Amino acid sequence: MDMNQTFSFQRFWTYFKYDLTQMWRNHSKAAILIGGASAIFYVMWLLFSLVFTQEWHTPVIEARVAVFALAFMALELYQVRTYGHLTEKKAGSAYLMLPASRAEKFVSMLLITIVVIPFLFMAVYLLLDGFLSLVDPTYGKALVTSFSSAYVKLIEGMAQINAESPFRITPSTMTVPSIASYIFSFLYFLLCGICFKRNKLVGALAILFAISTVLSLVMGLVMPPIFENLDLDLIDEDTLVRWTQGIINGGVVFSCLCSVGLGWGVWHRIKTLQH
Amino acid sequence: MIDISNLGFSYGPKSVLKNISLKASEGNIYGLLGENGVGKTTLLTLLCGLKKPLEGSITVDGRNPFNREPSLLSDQFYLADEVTPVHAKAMSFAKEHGVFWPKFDLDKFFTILSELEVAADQRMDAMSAGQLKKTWIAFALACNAKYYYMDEPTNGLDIPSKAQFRKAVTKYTSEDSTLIISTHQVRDLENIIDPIIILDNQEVLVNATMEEISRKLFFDYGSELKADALYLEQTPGGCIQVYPNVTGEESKVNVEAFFNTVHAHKDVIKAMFNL
Repeated sequence: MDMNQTFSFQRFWTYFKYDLTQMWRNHSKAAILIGGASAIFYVMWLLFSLVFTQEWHTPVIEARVAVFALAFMALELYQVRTYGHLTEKKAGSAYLMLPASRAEKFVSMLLITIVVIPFLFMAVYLLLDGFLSLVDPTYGKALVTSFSSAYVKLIEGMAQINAESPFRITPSTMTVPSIASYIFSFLYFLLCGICFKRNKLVGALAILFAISTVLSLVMGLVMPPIFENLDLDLIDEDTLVRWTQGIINGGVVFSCLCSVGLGWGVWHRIKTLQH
Repeated sequence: MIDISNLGFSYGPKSVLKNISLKASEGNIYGLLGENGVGKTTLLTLLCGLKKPLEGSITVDGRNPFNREPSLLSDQFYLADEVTPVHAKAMSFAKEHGVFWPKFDLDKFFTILSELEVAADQRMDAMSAGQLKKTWIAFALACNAKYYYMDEPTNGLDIPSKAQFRKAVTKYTSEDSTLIISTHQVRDLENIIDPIIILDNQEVLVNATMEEISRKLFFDYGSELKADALYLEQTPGGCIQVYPNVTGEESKVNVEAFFNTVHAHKDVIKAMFNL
């Protein structure tokens, strides 16, 4: 097999720059809207308070965190659109006929979806939020400082759990599943975007709903008999700790496997897409 | 060299191409003719690798187009009937896309674009359908590819542009380039296409050069009616008759009359051209 036909770093770099340019060209408006949500929310909050109370009120921290979470969720959902044009005959044909290998197109797609877009969003969002905090003293502390203090508290809480209980929790116990689920969600919406020709978002949400319904039904049928036959008095502390750690580790492995499965799905779609 | 062997393709239960075999050699401009729905576009998309053959095989210089290897993709250009409007100026589009074709010539792009009377600084998403088509034509020819697959390239072009297209195709493609042009507008292209491939319901009726057609059929533009004419068409100045060339006399091939003759006498023509 000629490796140059499979992956060439030089060509990949050319393609990646091209892909980034196209991404910006086609999605900059949405990026500004989602990335600038903090500023939009600040202006709206201020406007409403000035109109209705004639006082200078800025968004409370809880609302700011909620808007950040909503904006991040919107970004996840938006992944159905970033490469959604691949299913259109005209744009999809142009994409497939561009002289770069499937592997190069796949890696570029993953990098842009999982790394570039979320990090760019975080940078723009948090910088704007930090700027507002700097220019308006009533705005409160920047979100980034709130997040860092929350993380410090989390580490302290973990240390406390580790000291006072037989459980062993490390930062990776929290971060690996978080990263895996973040990759999972971005890849899931990306995959739906390049698979569904129409109603991409509705289709993606419908599948999620169907999967969660089936899982709930299965769990509802499987779990009660297990707990009914379980004598909690016979379970010692070591077993309980082992089981809990097992469930946590199983969750991490499951999230990672799901992400790998979705990654394979994206690769397969690029490989077999026809127009 | 393009080698199609026992090619078959269907859309679900509807078979479009069946047992198609033909060879296309370098340095020719093939005219791919056929009625609506016989599979001309399908054949072109199979040739460029946008679709995967369900039966048989296609090789282009020994390579399978569906593998979409960068070396083959950069050796070919597929110009679809309907082209995609890029959110950029024509010059930016050419600069960004052209880097993927090693022989791309930006100056040539500007020259052809100027000959086709399209402004290079015009945004492609603000162009008319004809201007957009001309921009893609200019880009395609500036790629200096070895294989061109053009689907109805003159559709949407105004009358002067059709002449400019013919001129550009003959002037700006190299001698070893192979072009396969699908068209219904035979009059637009009859001076440049040679050989001619006529597709019919799931088979190739004719794959012959103009010289071969002229050797086997006589195109009579006089007014005296012949009893053995395979085809007769009244024209304002007289008529066009097509009949077997028994004298070996040369005549100018009228592609439209030839196409109609083939359709009226499929078996006779197939026997005549040994297909």
